Amino acid sequence: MRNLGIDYIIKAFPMIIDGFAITIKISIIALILSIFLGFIIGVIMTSKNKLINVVLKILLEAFRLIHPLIWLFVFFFGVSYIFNIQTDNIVVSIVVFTLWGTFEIGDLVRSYIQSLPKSQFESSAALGLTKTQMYIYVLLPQIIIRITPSIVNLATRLIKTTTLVFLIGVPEVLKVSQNIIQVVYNSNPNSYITLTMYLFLLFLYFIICYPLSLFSKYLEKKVSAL
Amino acid sequence: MLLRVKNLKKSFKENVVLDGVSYDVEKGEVIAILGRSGCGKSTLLRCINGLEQIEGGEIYLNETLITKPNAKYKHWSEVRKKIGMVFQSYDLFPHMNVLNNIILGPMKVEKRSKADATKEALKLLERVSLLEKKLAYPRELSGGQKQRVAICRALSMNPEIILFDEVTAALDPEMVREVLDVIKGVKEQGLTMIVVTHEMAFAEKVADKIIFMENGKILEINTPDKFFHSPSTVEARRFLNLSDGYVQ
Amino acid sequence: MEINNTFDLVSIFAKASLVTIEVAFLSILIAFIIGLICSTALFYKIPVLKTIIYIYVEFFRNTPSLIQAYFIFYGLPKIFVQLDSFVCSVIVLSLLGGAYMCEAIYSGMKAISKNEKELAMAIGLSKFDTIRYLILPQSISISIAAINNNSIFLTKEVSTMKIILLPEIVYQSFDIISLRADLIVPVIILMCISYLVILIPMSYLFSILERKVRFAEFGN
Repeated sequence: MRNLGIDYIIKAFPMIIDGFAITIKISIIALILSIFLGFIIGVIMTSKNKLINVVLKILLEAFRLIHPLIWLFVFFFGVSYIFNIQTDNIVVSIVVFTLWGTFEIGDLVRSYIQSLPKSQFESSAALGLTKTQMYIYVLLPQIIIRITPSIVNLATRLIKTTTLVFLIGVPEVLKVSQNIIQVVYNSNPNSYITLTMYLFLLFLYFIICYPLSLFSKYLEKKVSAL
Repeated sequence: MLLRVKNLKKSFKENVVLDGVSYDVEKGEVIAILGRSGCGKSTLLRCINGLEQIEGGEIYLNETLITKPNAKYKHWSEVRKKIGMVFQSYDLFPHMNVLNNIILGPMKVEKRSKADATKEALKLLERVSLLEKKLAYPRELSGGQKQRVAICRALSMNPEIILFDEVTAALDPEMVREVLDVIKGVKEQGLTMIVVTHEMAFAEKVADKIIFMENGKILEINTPDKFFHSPSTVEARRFLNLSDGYVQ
Repeated sequence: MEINNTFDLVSIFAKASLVTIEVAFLSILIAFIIGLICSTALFYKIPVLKTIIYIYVEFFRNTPSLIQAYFIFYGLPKIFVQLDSFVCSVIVLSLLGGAYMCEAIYSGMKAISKNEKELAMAIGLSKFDTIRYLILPQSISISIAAINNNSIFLTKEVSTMKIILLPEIVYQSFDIISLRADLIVPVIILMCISYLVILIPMSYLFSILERKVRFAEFGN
């Protein structure tokens, strides 16, 4: 048993959880900002102004085609070199993931607005509702209900991808684990800790993400009944 | 004169849909607009509450011009408080229950209190025999029930005139009857109505005046009695012959 | 590495792009095959297999590819054999991709009406033939968009394999910067160009493929 390094994992458990908490924190902040900004961008995307549409579409594709890892690289090293400032790795992480999430949600919002039956606009107008009232009471609630499964799905992907930030030095769970592994190796080079540690990490992520994806599927079923 | 339509003109791209349409509606009158599909009757209705922009002519509600050129949305919101409309596809708000669908207008547009609006709504629901469904969601209702709720929704705003746009066209035959009964009830309340419909028997029983349209023009305006038994125009005769063989 | 001029830089990125394309190509291929096999097993509800496949799919879809890679590269060698980063990357991405492909193809299968499956059985078509001629072509046609998306996703995920020392584009970028931080701007440009050169033609080819394959939706 000693060789598996399980006792080390147990001892270091609080540190591991601390690191994990950082990952989750970054994901949650990015998610909340993305929802807020995403709705705004989504509504803007439905405007008939061609220039705005083209610019936003390019930005959207940029964040879709290019992996967040590359954006982390660009923002972390690029910004620091070009503007000659020390970039904070947590701030960069939040910025990159917020931008990613904002454009994903924005595109979803846009497509849901455009897919709302014209009749909903008309019957609200026929009642005498102002445009603002129409959006607040009739259109937005329907969009929010439809978009929620996708947002939960995005949350899952966000949590999985945030692990990448360890590559720009954020002390999240992967970095913490590697430190622990290093320590263990120093005293016992034959330890199987890499096996157990990474398995443990996989398990940690699984118990967070799997319920989320089940929840997302459940929401999808309920929403399609609307 | 409650509603006056003068020389209305409207085209979609190159198609002329309304070609100089004029008629008057007195308070308390029930008008049925009949005609083949595509003759412009729905468009005519939709011009009255601004869902379609007209290209020529005027519409007066209570002697006031409502079809201002380049009128903004805000202008029409004001006008629509007095004009109710029920659509062929009911278009209830799917995320709200029946009661909330009905009280949304009164509360947000007329700024009535929730208690007030609810009292009114429940009275309306009772009149259409749907009181027990007040907390149900649209997806739980049949087509006929949804349409009855849509009528309540329009009535809740206390409009001066209600427009019905082929409201039974999408319903199964059994449900058509229940909705037509409700419309009959609305007439008994003395409300002014313009009904676009295919239901000839209903039009004959309920309407005070029949307007017959073809190709964007009004060809005949007559009482139901005269229209259905001795129409004055050739086209009307042809139309009635082709429909349900109503003319003897 | 020696970086004396632009040519050196470009050749580094060219080689790295090649690595990316190789890994991506193999992974997509194997992932697709895994997806075919797994979705077929799920479709026929084979008792034990369907649970295993379900666990496999959910496991790979709900854990970060980064840690999956670490596990196979650093962890598994303890009880297995040390694999090089190329093989490891292909294994991880194939398994990850397989899970996504299985999901995509299976939902395509679910979309085919039950009547067809029963019709095939009524005619006496063997299970293998049913799958080969009836079910699979239609499922793939229906889910081709998802399949293409997954392929593009896998190609992007190759960059994640940098952490197990795969000498692909991002790995080289990090490496160059650690030596010569002043080269950041050309590196970023080359990085983006390399990816666009790979992804845009890929995207284009896939949309042509999609158009050719999407026959099953019509005529319904």
